[in-house]
Amino acid sequence: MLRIAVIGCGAVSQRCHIPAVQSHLDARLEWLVDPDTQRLRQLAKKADKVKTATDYHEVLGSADAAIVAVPHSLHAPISIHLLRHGIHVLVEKPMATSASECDAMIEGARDGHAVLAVGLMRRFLHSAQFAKWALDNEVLGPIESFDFREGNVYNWPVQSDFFFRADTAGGGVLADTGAHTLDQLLWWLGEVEDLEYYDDSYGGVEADCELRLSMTSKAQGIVELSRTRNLRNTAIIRGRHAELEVGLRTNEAVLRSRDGAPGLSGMSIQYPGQAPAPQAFTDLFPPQFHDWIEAIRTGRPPSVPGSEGRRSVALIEGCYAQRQPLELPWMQPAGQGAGI
Amino acid sequence: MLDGKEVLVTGGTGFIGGRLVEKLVLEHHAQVRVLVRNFSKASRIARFPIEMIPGDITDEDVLKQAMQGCHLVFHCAYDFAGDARHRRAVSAKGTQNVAEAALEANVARVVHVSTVSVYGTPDGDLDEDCHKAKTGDIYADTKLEAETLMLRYRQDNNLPVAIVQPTIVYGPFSKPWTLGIVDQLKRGPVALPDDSGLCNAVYVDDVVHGMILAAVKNEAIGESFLLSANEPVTWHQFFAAYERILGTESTVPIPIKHSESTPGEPSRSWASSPTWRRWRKVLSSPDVRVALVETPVVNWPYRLAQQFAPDSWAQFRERYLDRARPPAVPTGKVMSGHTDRVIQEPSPSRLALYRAKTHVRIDKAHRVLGYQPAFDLERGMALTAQFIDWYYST
Repeated sequence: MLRIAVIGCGAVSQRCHIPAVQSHLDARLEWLVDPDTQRLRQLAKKADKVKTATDYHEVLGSADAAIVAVPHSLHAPISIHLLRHGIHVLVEKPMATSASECDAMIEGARDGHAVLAVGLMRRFLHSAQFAKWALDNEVLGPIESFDFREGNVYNWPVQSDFFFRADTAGGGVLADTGAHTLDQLLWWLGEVEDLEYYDDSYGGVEADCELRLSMTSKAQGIVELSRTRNLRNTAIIRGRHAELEVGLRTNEAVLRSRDGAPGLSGMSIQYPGQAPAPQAFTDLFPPQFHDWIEAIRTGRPPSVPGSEGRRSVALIEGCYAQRQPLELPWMQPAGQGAGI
Repeated sequence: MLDGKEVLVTGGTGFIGGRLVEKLVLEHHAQVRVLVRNFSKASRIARFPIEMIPGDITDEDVLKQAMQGCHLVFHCAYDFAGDARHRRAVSAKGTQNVAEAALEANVARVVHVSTVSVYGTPDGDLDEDCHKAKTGDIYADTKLEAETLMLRYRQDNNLPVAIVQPTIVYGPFSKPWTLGIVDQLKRGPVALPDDSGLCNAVYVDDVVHGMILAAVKNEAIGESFLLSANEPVTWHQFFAAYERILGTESTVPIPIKHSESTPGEPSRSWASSPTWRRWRKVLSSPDVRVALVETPVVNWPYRLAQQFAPDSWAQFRERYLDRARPPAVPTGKVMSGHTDRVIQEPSPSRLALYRAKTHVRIDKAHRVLGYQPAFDLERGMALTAQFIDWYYST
């Protein structure tokens, strides 16, 4: 029975990680760690014989593995410390705030002989796996273009301001939602050759951004992300023969011909050996947790190891390095502000 | 004048407060703090280098701490959640806390954001000398109570407060007057009284400009200022501007003879009274109506009416029995594509507003503050159109 510590007990841990641990037969929730003692008391009431701490160092020696769900800027230092002490880590996305931090985390896992997995749980969407299969097997023909749009009017029940401060979050919608979206893009379409990046930050963290990408495969396309608008939340990938529209957050896909021939539309793509399932957001955490536990038990790599988590972080870093302002004409109209 | 000055904004995650934060940073280079009750709504202001302080206006201690060292306070917060009692309590307590904390912090100015609704919807010219009275509308009434409280603090404690009373504020991210209307027009036909009243529409940037003037002009202290555009438009013109942006014709005129509401006194109208609305809901069930006409006491006048006054009966039936809503009949306008869709009827308070011929005068703001709106409907809607195009491109 693996003893699990959950480090950082905010919304994602409460809603997703802790239930995933508690639903697994080979794992036991051993520690809850959070600076908020009131929150710890409330959560401990709902768990059986769980220990609590405000400092993650206390888990050393009495936890086998840890889920790290803390402000983004703390992902690397906490994970590295745990990994070097031989504690397996499942770290929330984005893996870290820079590629060099990711490298240090991967090195820490190697030194501590521990398994490092990254919480990019959308890879467990059956439709995302179908898209990967379709693209790897050139079902669409050579890929020519793509159009990823993801966004909603922000409603995540954040319990502090860390998501909205550059020093703790490492960025805005690109670093947060984009960690998922860009991971899916890189997983499906390969490496980026060239990029342009635009966002609406005026010295804080961006709420909307747009990437124009050229891939090494020569496919070109855009990625648009938003915290202020409800976008379609799908990726459209156009090949020479067919195009695939796949839900970025949902288990849905549409395969269309490009010459007007009939296409396929699917809700709940079926995974081999499993019944079709809608796969809500919270449904993705138990398979992610199970995958990590199996990697620990068997010695095989997890589905999303550190090397994979690093790819989207490096792309995010590359975007911020080339940032240009997003054009929003109503933001600074020639007005009457000056002169007061 | 505000360069480097510490400014606290309450309600900074809202529509007007949010735009104020943007302009304070971008154009006035102020050091802005925002009291944030719900961080889920902080995405837009988080784009700026500001300080976000967790807490809300009902927490006296948090407010006092947030106001320390502040030069200016803009009080834009208003809580729409909860029942009337809760809203009244939050508004009163919050306003009192803002006033108390401002006195303790010795701030140079508090700009209190109120609304034109404190005057009701009288026909004719409306200026700051017009009578203010409670109308039964919880938003307007709580705003009036808050205004009164602020003015009492001015009188009794010498609080340097200025009050602004914006009108129909539209522009990017306005829920009631941009997103709400666009959503309505996209859903289908929208009923408007054919006897269109005046819409005192003002683009959000003009309101923010007026707020900042009220913060920096000494003559503003203790005064109230209506903030609107130079001239009103009609509600038909206002809706038509959105229809042009969307490339649709969705408004449907309600004939005036079908509209019984009296501007400013919607609650006195029989057609819009809560009792009749409840009955109409019950009568909207075909089963109930059939059962009703089969009862003897109804059956014989029903047959008489059918036989001897078929036209009147048809009108009565169409208006009150056949459908739950709308009571009015669309006339004249040809609509393509949505003739089978339910016409969206304005609420009684909206109907009163759409029929009122209130002409808001901004002479005082112009004279005392030097307020000069930069946006007429055409210019404001040109920017709003670009926003709508961006906002709804999925």
